Amino acid sequence: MVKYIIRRLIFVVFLLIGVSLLVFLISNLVPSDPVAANMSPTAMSDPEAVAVYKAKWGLDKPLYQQYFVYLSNLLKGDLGTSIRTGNPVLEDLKQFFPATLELSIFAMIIAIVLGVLFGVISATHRDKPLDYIFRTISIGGVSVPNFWFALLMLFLCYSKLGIFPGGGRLGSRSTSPSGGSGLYVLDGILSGNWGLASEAFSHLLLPALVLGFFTMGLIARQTRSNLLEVTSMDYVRTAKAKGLPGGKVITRHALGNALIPVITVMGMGFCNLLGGMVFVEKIFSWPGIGQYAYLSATTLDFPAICGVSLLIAVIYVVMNLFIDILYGIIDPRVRYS
Amino acid sequence: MKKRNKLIALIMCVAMLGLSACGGNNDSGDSSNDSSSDSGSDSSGGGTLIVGMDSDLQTLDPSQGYEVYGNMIYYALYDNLYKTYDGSTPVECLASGYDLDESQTVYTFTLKEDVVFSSGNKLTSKDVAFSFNRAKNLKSNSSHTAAGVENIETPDDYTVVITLSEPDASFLVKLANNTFAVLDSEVVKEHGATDAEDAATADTAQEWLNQNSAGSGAYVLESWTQNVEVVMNRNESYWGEVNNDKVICKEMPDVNTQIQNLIQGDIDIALGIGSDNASQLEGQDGVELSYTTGTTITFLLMNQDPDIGGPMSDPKVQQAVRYAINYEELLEICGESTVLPLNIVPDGFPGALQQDENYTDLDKAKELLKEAGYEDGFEVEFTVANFDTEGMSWTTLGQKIKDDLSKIGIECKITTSEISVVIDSYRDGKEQFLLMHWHPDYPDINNQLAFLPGETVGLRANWETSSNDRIDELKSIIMTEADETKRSEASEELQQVLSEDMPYAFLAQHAKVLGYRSNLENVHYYEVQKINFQDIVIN
Amino acid sequence: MKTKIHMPKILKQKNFLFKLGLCICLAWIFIAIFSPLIMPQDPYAQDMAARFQGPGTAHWFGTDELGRDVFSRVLLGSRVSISAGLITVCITVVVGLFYGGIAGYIGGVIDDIMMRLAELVSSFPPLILAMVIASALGPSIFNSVFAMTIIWWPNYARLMRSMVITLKENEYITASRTLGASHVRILFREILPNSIGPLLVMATLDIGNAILTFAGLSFLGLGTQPPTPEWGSMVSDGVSNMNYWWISTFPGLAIFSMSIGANFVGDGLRDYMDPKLLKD
Repeated sequence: MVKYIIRRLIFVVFLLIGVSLLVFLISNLVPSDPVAANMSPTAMSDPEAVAVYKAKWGLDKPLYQQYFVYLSNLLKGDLGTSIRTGNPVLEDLKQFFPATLELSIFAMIIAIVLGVLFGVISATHRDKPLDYIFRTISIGGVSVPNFWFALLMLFLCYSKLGIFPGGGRLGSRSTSPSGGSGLYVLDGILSGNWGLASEAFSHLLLPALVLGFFTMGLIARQTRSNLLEVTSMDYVRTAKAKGLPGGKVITRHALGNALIPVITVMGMGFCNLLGGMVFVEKIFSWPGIGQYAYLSATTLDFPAICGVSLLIAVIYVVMNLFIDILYGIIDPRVRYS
Repeated sequence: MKKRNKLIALIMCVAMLGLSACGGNNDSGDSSNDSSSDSGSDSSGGGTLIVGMDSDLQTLDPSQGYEVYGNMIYYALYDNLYKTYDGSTPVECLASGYDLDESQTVYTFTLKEDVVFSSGNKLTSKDVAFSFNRAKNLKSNSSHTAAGVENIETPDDYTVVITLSEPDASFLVKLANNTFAVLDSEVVKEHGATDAEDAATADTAQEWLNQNSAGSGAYVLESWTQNVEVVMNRNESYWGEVNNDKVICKEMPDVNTQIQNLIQGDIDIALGIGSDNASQLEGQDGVELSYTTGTTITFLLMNQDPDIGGPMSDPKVQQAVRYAINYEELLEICGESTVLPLNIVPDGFPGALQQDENYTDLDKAKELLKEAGYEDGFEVEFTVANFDTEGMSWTTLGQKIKDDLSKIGIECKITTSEISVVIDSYRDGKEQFLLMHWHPDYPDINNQLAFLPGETVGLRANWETSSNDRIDELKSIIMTEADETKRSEASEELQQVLSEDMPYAFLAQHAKVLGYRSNLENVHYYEVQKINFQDIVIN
Repeated sequence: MKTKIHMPKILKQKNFLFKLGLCICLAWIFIAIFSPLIMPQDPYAQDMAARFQGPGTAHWFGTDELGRDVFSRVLLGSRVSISAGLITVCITVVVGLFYGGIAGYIGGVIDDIMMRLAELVSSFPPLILAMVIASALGPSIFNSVFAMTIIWWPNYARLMRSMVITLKENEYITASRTLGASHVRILFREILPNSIGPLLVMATLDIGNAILTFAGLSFLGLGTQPPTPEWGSMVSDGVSNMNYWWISTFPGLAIFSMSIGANFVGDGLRDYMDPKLLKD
């Protein structure tokens, strides 16, 4: 087990180097000049100003040198400086990550709770109306384009019905609290500032719901099919034959085993979340990694793109590792394969 | 068991809705409480102004900023010798008067006395000299504006003598640019600022300036969270009038979110609205719209180089394009307060002429194409970046142009792109047929001469020299002539000459749309600083 | 407490959802092929006088910011949206199939390297990679499809490989080897037909995803070029005009319905196949 983890961790390092190389290559194959993208037209006509700018960003060195400089900085923990914002990428990421983290956590909670619930209901009422209803909702979840869904929800729930707030992490009249973890609900609870916690919470609900909808669908479907598969297995039939009531069978015997593969799906779902992030953050004015990634990608800000990609790749890989370990602990059969 | 599952689900749903309803109500409750309590206790003018914007601000150091929404913040926090509200007329701010010598290169400014920085320090000439020298030596994105300044002397506390390297008719207006903002030299020096020759590498004050203001403006910076908000509080020692207590500028990159928030009253002013989407706000309760003609012009660029431009390099084709555009419908799409400039001079600049709405003549256009040898038309790649001018989407404009040109046989294949990629190719002069806009760096006609052959934009269309000498003659008159009437006349003649002979087709001078709540007073759009926060009264 | 809900007989059929999905998909494919004949108006015709009109008798789905008929645009838009999705999935399946099949069959170090490479590609945040590629190479349908295939092929490679590994150990394969069958013959004759099932299921389920992703890229301005109608870019056009809700909503519903149809079909296919075969 330990050997397995170590092997995986070594691989992670290679993975990250690979990701950075990939981004670097693509960004530099691009027919665009970050100098032109970020300097004012009149400033560009002054060769001295351009030279200063280029030296600042190391754009005057040959390509491979640029990459090695980048790589060596990376190993020191320096992710470079964003051409677009002018801040160190690490600082930018530290600023934007908590917003995304908070949103993802909430979205996952909603997705898992609703997903498992719908899956269970579907499975226990197989081929009956309730099954169809929840199956449709789950499939709907995976089929709806999240950018459109976000727009629709914002329009309906905020503009027309006024039951949810209209974007942003806090109300328009509140200013961002400084310090703390950056996870406002948590910060609010820990410091006893219930106003902050509840305001942050109410602003989280709609985007988290929209974001988690897709993952909810995934989890629901997986739960349903696993549950069905497991209930047809021998030990469940035995339990039923013993006379245990159906519901008890499900919760005590079947659900536990059925949920194992669902854990993998949760991992996949989390990474899907990071994908849907871009749209949801844009529409809900959420200052997170998704927006940062979009702005960096479209302005071809290589240090920032690298930084964000590395961050997300790390999360992805750590998530996978965590799930594999979890899987290994829960299901002994896996451990010895 | 099944019943219990359902019950649990039901309880959870109700709980979530309940919590959210509480949260949602709290939010709108807060804002309505805010405004009602404001009207109750307000007598001297107060309240918080919430503005929605999409700014991508990079720095709050005025000596280094070069951003569209920069001046909105810089003007609120800092003062200049002169400010400008319409973009072309200098208005005295810190200066109470000036003298210009015969060589037209030495300006002697007298400063207002009794102006105090937010720190309590008095504003004197040394602060002006320090700020200007720092701006020049930082070699930042905005330093070029200060390039003409050769020397600054401070004979006494309230006199500043500035020597330019050559006469500049627009110098006073240039002083209104954020590069020339006056900073509290003592305070910023404590935080690493320097105005020495090596300021480009030695100055370290930017980080501090991003979180604090050291100015004499109407407001003091409370905080700046990049991509989230700018918070400013009223400056108690300000020498003028401030009609509200606090300004919060919220970043809302999505226009739709700004619109919905404005309708709900969660923001007071929405900056991102364009003519494209303003119509849905007309007649909306509690919302007002104001249209102001800006100075940004959109135009079509046709490359003069036959290798790159192909058919578009033929002057007859270029004229045909100008005849083919449906100007009447263009005006309609661009909305109220849009102006059709004849060509390079925007309305409001000396000698500006306008395009006749009925200029469109498809027959003449087809005739010209035939003469050029393209009776059956041709295909061309049309570059339209994913961008907008004052909210007017380029893709909408591009599709309209494509439709217009197809009527005379020119089939455009629209190629979209990110602006950063297009800008590069455009500046290299490699674009065949392109939609672009031009925003004057400073509001003077000299800036617009960039379109002429051999100048900035001209080179991008590979228009190196013109066969018409008159263009060069008129150019030098405009640049050097001090008499405004003569300049206007020259400007008018230049436009007439160009209208038949240029590799461009000018589209529109766009209107800026401002959406704001009806309970606000004194909301005006200004070209340079967008909104003058201190004027606004919240009822 | 059991309530008797009287369901019409058709709903009681076991694979009702599958059939429903199939109908939806076939209807859209039909529309995609025959749209130029069915659409009531020219989807490119601009009409300044008729801008921003709501759904009505003249325009069933209303008009957009240039006065074009939204209904016709939705119909024509199906061509690009659906074909982009289908092509992406087809290419990804084929690439993944060969890659994973070879890796799984050869095994050993080569397998390890190949799969690590696949993992590297799939660890890259998909949307970011797509945005970077599309921004770099220029927005076009081809580049978006290209970007999407790069992101997705690892999934199929992995699936194929795991199936090949299990099948490899089967007795009839070893029997074939002893009889002297070549590797190529075994791959094509024995392994491929047995693995196609789950691949097909995954592909069908992915069609919906592909259409969504392509629409998403177009929404960001990275896919089709205007004025070509495409569902994703039409939603994007309507974003800043949400109060004219029809501009965004109808294309959005189109994406949704096609996607849900494809998912119903995929689901049904999966239910049909023995679920045990699908375990990784």
